[in-house]
Amino acid sequence: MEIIELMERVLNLRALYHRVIAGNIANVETPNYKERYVDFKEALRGIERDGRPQIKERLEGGRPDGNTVQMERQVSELTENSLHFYALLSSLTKKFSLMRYVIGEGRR
Amino acid sequence: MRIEHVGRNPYVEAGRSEVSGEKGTISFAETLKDAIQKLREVERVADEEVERLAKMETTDIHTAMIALERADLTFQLMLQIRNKIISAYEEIMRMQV
Amino acid sequence: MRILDVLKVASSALKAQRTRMEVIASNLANIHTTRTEKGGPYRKKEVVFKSERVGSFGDRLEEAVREVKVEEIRESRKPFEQVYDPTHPDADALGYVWLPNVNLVEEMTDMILAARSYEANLNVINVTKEMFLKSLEIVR
Repeated sequence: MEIIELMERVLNLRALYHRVIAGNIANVETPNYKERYVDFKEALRGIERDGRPQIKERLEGGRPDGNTVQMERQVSELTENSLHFYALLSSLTKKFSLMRYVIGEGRR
Repeated sequence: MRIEHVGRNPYVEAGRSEVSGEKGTISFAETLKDAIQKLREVERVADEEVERLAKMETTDIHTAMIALERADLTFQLMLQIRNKIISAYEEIMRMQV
Repeated sequence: MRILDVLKVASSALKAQRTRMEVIASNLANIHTTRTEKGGPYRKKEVVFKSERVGSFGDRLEEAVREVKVEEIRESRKPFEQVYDPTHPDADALGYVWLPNVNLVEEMTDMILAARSYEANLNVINVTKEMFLKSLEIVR
C-alpha cells in the first residue's frame, strides 16, 4: 500500500481514538458507563486490509455506580495518542516535502 | 522516428506525432492526455474535500489537508511532465530541418 | 467535522461539572440549615449524569463517542442526623434537632473531583485544538 495512504489511515485511527478518549473523560461520573478503548496492535494489523477498527469496552474495575473509567489512564492515553498523532503528521509533511523536492528538481 | 506534417497548433500536432520505441509506440498524445486526465481527477477529489470542509460535513481536517497536498504535488508533477513533453517536441522540431 | 465533535463532548462535560459544582456549593451553603420552607432540614442535592451519543446516527464506530448531560438534580435519600440540643430554636418537643444530611468532608471531596474533571476536559479541548492546528501545517 502506498505509504501516504497508510499514514492517512493510521491518522484516522488516532483521530478516532482521540474521540473515544474524550468521551471517556467526559463520562467519568456517568453511572454504568464503561470505559472504551481501541486495541491498537489489532487495529494496525488490519489497517492495510480495509479492516474497520473495533472499539472495545472495559467491564472490570467498576466503581459502585457501575462506571469503569480510570481518569489517570485516560489522561495518559490522551497524551500518548496525541504524540503519536503529531509524529505521524511530521513524517507525512516530511514525505510531501521530499516529493516536492524530487518533482521540482530541487527548486521549490 | 516518423513525424507527421505539422499543422498550425503545435500542441495539437504534438499529439499526432509518434515515436517508435523497442517495446512499441509511445505517443505524445497518449502521455499528455493521461497526464491531463490524472490532473482533473486529483483536482476533483481535492475540490470535493474542500467543499466538505466548507460545509462542515463529516471528514477530518487532516484528510482534507492530505487531499489538498496531493493535488498540489500532482499539479506540479503534471506541469513538469507537460513542460518536458513540449520541450522534447520542440527539440524534435528543431532537428527536422 | 469529526474532530470538532470532541469539542462538543468536552464542553458538555464542562457544563455538567459546573452544574455539579453549583449543587455542591448549595449543599455547603446550607450545611447548617435546620429549617426550610417545606419544613425540616435542608436535604442534600446530588447530580445524576447520563451519556448521549454525539456522532452521526448509524455509524457504529461513532456511537461509542458520547457526551455527558445532567439527567436530573435529585435530593439525596441519605437519612438526617439528629443531635440533642434543647436550646436550639428548631429543637423538637424532645429537645432533638434534625440536621441536614450534608457531610462536609464528602462535599469537599466531591468538589475536588469535580474540579479535576473540569480541568481534564479543558485539557482535552486544548489538545484537540493543537491537533487541528498541526494538521493544517500539512499544506504549509
